[in-house]
Amino acid sequence: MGCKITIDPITRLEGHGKIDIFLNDEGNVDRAYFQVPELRGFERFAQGRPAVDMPQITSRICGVCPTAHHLAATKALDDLYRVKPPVAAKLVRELIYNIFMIEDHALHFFFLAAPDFVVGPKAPKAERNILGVLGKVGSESGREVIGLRKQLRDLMTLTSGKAIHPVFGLPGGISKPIAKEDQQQFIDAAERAIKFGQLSLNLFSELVLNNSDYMDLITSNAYTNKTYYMGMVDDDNKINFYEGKLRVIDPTGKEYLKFDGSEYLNHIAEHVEPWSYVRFSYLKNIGWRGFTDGPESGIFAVAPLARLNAADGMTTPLAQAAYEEFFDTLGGKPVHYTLATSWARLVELLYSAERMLELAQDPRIVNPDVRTIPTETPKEGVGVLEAPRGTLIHHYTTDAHGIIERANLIVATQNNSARIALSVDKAARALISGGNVDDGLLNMIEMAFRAYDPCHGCATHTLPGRMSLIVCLYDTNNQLVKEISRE
Amino acid sequence: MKTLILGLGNDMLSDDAVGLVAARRLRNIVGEHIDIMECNEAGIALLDVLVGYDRVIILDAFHSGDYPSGTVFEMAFDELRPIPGMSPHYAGLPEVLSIGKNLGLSIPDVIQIFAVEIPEYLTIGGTLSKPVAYAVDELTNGAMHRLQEWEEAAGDNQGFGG
Repeated sequence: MGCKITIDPITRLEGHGKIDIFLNDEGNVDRAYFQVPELRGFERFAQGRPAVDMPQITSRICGVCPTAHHLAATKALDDLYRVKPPVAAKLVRELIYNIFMIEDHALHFFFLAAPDFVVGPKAPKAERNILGVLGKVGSESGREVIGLRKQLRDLMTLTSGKAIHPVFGLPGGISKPIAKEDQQQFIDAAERAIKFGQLSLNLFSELVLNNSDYMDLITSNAYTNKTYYMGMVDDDNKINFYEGKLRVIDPTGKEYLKFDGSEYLNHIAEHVEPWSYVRFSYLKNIGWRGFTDGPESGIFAVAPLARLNAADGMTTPLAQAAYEEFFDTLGGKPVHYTLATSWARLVELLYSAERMLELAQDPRIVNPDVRTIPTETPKEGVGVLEAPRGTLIHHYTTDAHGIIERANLIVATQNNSARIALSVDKAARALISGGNVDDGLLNMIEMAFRAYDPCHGCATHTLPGRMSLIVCLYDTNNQLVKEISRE
Repeated sequence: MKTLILGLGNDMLSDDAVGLVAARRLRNIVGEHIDIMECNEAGIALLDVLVGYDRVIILDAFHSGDYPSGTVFEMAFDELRPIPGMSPHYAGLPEVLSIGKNLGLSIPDVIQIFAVEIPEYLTIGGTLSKPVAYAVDELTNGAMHRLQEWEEAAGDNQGFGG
């Protein structure tokens, strides 16, 4: 010891997001590539382990969306053992899941989207953060984000053991029912979350919808990609995050596909590129046509904007009204504006809060019968749900003892990865000309992928910093002309 | 004075778990008046953990590629600076703490960080590699040394027996 060195900054350098921008002779963008690191070795790690361990293992891969992995794995186990959970178990799972969605969406909006839309996309870097947001909207809203989040996480701990790594999902049910005397706590928190959802939408309306500059930005060509959209819907084609069928609409808004998650291999294929570790999901039967949009290209999107586009509406009244306002304001369905994702996320937040209240008030949710014991011999199981960042698929095959032979995960960001690359390329082309790039422009290119809240699970925590970004500009001879680091 | 030793890391990512391993070991060494926590959360979630403590020692891993694996660094919190990034989940400690401060929460006055250079952190599975495992002693010794200094300075030395 004894050596004291200032490392400025210390970050996990491999955790860099990286954008390579190649310029032509005129200094305009020839092509922009967006790269991120990816975790390796999951399949090998899973092989030979009991499938029933997967809800714990997969939720610990990543500190960002553990509840989504936990429940996708649990649903895959239901399917693997061909067992149907009792009503109360299903209700509790969906309740916990919606609590998680509220928490995650609230964080994204206030910490990530709001700096761009509340403080301003070209505001000085030092102000474009949550502190700048609190300066504009007042620390009252900030305290409410933190306070509500804490209340929700306490409820998750009460039900699922730990908020960070839930331990309640079992094949055929859950490990612990909700006690009748605890039910009111969930109702109270849901009512608070609904108010918070309304407050957030009002804030968005006041600060963004009433600002013509922001609306011009959202609807500008730089951030528009006409692709397919995928999301989970119930029998009435309304949004559901926990269960339903996957519905895909084409770039004109027409239903192209509706399928059970277990059939995903018939519809989703993966494309690889030499410059990226990421496998790019695309619609198998449309095909891969490169990084281009339109009906001929199999590129699709998932996550809030895609879910709103892929559904016919919301099951809860306040969220339905917000859904209608969203499409009325933005010119009808489907909306192709990537930056509208932030607004869509708030519509979903309100839905999750209302759904949380419905579930918390359901008298069946306190029924102590929360487990159906599996009796079937396991072979293969698929679990699908809508994670905050989009459709998440877990697929396991096992031997007769339930030991994993093969595990396949398609995570939300992977489903979105082709459209993210497309969005970054298009934004770079539209915003850079004559070789000029400054910090404001760089931030505006970043906004194209920040809308997706891309999560690659790798940087589960970083000591001082966050996942950082490097932008490299190259001339026609592939010589580096400029590097801008976001450290 | 309320003191916390916080091990950060992910025990599914081999060497990334080094902070957790060191915290676990310290649990058997330091007195009961020191809280020990193993945590694999990130970003704003760390606020929940840090609020209410006066002094915190953080044990963590980092990867720079610039130092031999297992190299241990000690640094004071104010040597870090915020990095603007792409997701709130990766919010840095400096930013997390200034949010806490702005919201009037009780955040620690002193934070000392011990971090180990690790060779790789993107592969799931595995245990600590040798150079990183060897660094655990240095981490725990460093943390205890710092702790002792604090307690002597504050005159609240309750000893390390336990």
